[in-house]
Amino acid sequence: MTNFFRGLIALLVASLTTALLGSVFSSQFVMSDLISVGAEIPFSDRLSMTIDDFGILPSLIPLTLVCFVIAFSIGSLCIKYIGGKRIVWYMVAGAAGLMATLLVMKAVLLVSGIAGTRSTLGFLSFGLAGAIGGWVFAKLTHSLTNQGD
Amino acid sequence: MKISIKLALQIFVWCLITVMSVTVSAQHVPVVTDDYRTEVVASGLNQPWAAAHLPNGDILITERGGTLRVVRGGKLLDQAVDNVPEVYFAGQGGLLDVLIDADFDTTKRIYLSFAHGTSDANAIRLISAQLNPLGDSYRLENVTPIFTASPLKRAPQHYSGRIEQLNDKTLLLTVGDGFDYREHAQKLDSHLGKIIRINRDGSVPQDNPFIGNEKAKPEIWSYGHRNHQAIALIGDAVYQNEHGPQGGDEVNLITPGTNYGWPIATIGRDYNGARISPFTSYPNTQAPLVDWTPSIAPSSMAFYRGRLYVTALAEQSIRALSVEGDAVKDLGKVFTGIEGRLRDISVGIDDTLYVLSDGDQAELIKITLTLLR
Repeated sequence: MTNFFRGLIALLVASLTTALLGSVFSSQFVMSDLISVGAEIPFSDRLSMTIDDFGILPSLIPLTLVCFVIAFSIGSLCIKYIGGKRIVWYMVAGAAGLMATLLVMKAVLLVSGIAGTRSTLGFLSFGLAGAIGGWVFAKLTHSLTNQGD
Repeated sequence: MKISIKLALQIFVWCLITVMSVTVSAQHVPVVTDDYRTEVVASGLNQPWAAAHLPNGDILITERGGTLRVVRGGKLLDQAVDNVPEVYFAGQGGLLDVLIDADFDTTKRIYLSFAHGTSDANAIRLISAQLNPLGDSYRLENVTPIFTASPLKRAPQHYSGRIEQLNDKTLLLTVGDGFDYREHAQKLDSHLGKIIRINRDGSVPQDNPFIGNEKAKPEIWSYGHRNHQAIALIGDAVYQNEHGPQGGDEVNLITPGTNYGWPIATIGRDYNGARISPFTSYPNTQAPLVDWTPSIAPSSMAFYRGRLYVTALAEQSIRALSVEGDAVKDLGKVFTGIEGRLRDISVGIDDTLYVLSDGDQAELIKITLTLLR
């Protein structure tokens, strides 16, 4: 299997991981907002809605994929020309890339495209999901490079 | 960390296929075959939102950019109404509804709703003004803001803005949830996502349902609404419709103090497919009389010859509803020869229906119903 193909698989798995986490985080923040205005949400309903919300993945995965192609390309350039731990660069790239994507979406749509990111914490949770995606990408591509993590 | 590339690929493809399994269902909508004829009364309107009929037969039409046009004798006058307040024209904002006071013959008053403020701090505002003749047209004088929603919000979305006057002469105004502020619809210390009721001078009627509740805005008449762009009176009964997100458009019978559920209880989903809430119904919230899923995007509503007529933007149609108290039945599409996104429907003083289309080359269309089936 070529390095290119292995890199592509790593990118897809990282995107899927981030999109899944983003979906789960968004569901929790949406329900937290409902609870703040008086709703009582039993665990079974919370679980049901969290799973049901995976319905956003067909749009969230491609969005994350495009975001990561750009973010990880910039990350790899930073590793090459600045140096430092590649896992840190990819985590930073993933987090910054996803948060920048949310900001661009909001600038275009004028409103939040993902309801769970309306609050500061919800927004930062997507940064965390992006960072974890970066970590997954760095780990899966570790064998393709001579550099240490 | 070691992982099988083949396994990772299989997991990825499986997940993608699973979440992309979307059920698409076609809906059959009945058609009401009333006999009618249409006439284009005015054309070239730029993003009209509402029409109101003066006792002398003139028709006032709001354009979202901030102009109030006049149709007289079947002709759109070049000269718009003078001295209309500056509006915040962006997104769904701008000049919205116009209502003629029930005592116009003596008060000469009209009411206008519009988006007010800036991109960072804006709100729906209601003003009262006297409509006095000026040349061939009119001029607004004694313009008085009588209500501005609080808190101010960012982004130009979900103002609602429909005005209605109850038989006791008090005014109702629909105040949208502001889109990103949807939980405010459940907060009684916010006007967002409410119907508010005030006197004609802007004071608060002392029989409003939350008078005495120190944590509640005294103007609130009902709550738990999203983006409600229509109110129709049938006798003393107040019917309202509102846009759901993706599905969950509603028709409700409004009673004071009632919670209509949004966003805790809704049949609609977010535009990206996510759930708004785990609940399609919830204790102590009122379920809709009619639900439209998928959405038709109801824009306006008028009661005429025993039926409620609802214009729709997304469905590009007019729906007819039969009404008997809280038994409201969607009869289906009517006047199907009228096409395009439809913004407003009203009853003229000549006892015919008038429909406004949407967009920057919109028309005012008169519908004469010749046979009700």
